Amino acid sequence: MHDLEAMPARLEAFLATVRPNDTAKVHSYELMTGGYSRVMGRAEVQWSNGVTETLVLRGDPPPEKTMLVTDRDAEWAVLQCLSKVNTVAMPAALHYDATGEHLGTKAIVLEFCAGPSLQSQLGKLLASDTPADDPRCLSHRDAFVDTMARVPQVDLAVMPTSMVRPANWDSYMDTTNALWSQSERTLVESNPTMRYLGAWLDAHRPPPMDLVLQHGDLQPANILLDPIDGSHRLIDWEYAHIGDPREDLGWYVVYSASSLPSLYGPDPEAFLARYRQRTGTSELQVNQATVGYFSVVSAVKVFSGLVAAASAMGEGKSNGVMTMYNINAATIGHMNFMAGCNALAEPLDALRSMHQQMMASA
Amino acid sequence: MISLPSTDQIILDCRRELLEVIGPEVHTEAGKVSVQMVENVLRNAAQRAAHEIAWMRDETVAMEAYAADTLAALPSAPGVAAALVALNDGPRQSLHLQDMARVYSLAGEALSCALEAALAAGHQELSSRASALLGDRSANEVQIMGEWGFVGRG
Repeated sequence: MHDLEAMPARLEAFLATVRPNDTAKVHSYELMTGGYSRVMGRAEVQWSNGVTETLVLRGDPPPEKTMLVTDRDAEWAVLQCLSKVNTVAMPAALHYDATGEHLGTKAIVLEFCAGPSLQSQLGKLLASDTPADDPRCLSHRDAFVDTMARVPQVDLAVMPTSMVRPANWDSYMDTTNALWSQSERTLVESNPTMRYLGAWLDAHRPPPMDLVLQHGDLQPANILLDPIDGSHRLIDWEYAHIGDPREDLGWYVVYSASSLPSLYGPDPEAFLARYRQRTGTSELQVNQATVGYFSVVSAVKVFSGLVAAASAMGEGKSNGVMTMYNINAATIGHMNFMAGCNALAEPLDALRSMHQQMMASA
Repeated sequence: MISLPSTDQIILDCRRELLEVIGPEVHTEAGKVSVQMVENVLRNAAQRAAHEIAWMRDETVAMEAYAADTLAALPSAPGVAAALVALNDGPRQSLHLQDMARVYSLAGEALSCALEAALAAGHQELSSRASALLGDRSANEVQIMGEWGFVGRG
């Protein structure tokens, strides 16, 4: 995928192996911008029957440029399973070069969606100073919440057997909270904020919920809009996992703090009320305090990836300007997570007490 | 050595060259995103070059004091004593950047062990103090960051 000149011929050869009864001519191949973690390519293809098609290729960057490590085999397995159910709309996952033998790196071939991303549409509204209570903003917010609310409704029975299935909520939180400390101990230098966050999360657990499918990076740049009806297609499932349903909510709060406009910030209660209504969850479970807690929980994998990439660079094992550019996101994370911990301790403790009283009386 | 222009001034001049001379000649989307990122990294680097030694020294003093106080309050706190010994054995007299960073990291490990013990013990005063120390650390990071937002997304 990285050799632009060689790619048309390589892709033609790959397509011949997955569609042996057709012949493909690749008229163009170019890299796409928009994603930070994977390399994305776009190819214009004409088949022997005259049909033309645009394909999207999604593969791993060269090892020395890798900032966030995720597993293409796992992502392909998730995409195949999600394709069998219609709970969440997404671009069709068409083919997979599982070894990188043909495309130079493990790569998933996807259907191309011609529409813009939700982020770009929101960016236009932001640029024109559209107020947050404008009907267009509210419509985007509601549609975004609805997309987010569909993910936990995916039947876990259809998901890959290889996906980690935690025994229960408490053991899941044990494992997830420990990631902050575990990740920190692999770095070339200490990071006391990460150690604080792991210890703080353990000391302030909210009421539990049933574990469900979570996208892991659910934000407007990962939602493509259908060019005709504006319906959503959710992409980039590399962080999909079975976890607490408040993780995607929390991650969006983290993400939107540095990628405006936020669909949550102007009216969190309206956002969460719609989410609760769409998912049948309670206010004791889904509220600003628990979402704040899971904003810290959900950030660990991406955050650890950012600082691990800087750590590898510090050890001379990698390079790339994007690594040091993105370390600023870690700065924002440090600042916001600490502010969150300071603000959330009391409300979380109160929620836990309420939950314990309810359990006792039940 | 010629010390002026200082390192941060030199880096900022490279940034100016990038924006005024190189940037306008870049016409691909990926290239433009790359220029924006490099510009940002150069700004960050200039800020670090200007202040990081002073910030690391000041934070190290505070982190060491916190770890020592925690050890006094919670004598069985796991790892704190060993972390303080390691810090004391570090290259503390050197002002070379790699040595400063090494000592800063050792102090960070002592702080980490101490705050974990404070939070696990529910020690309110030490927990609050740890949070305040990390707030100071974050304030320095924010000065390095300056204006920042994702480029090339969406």
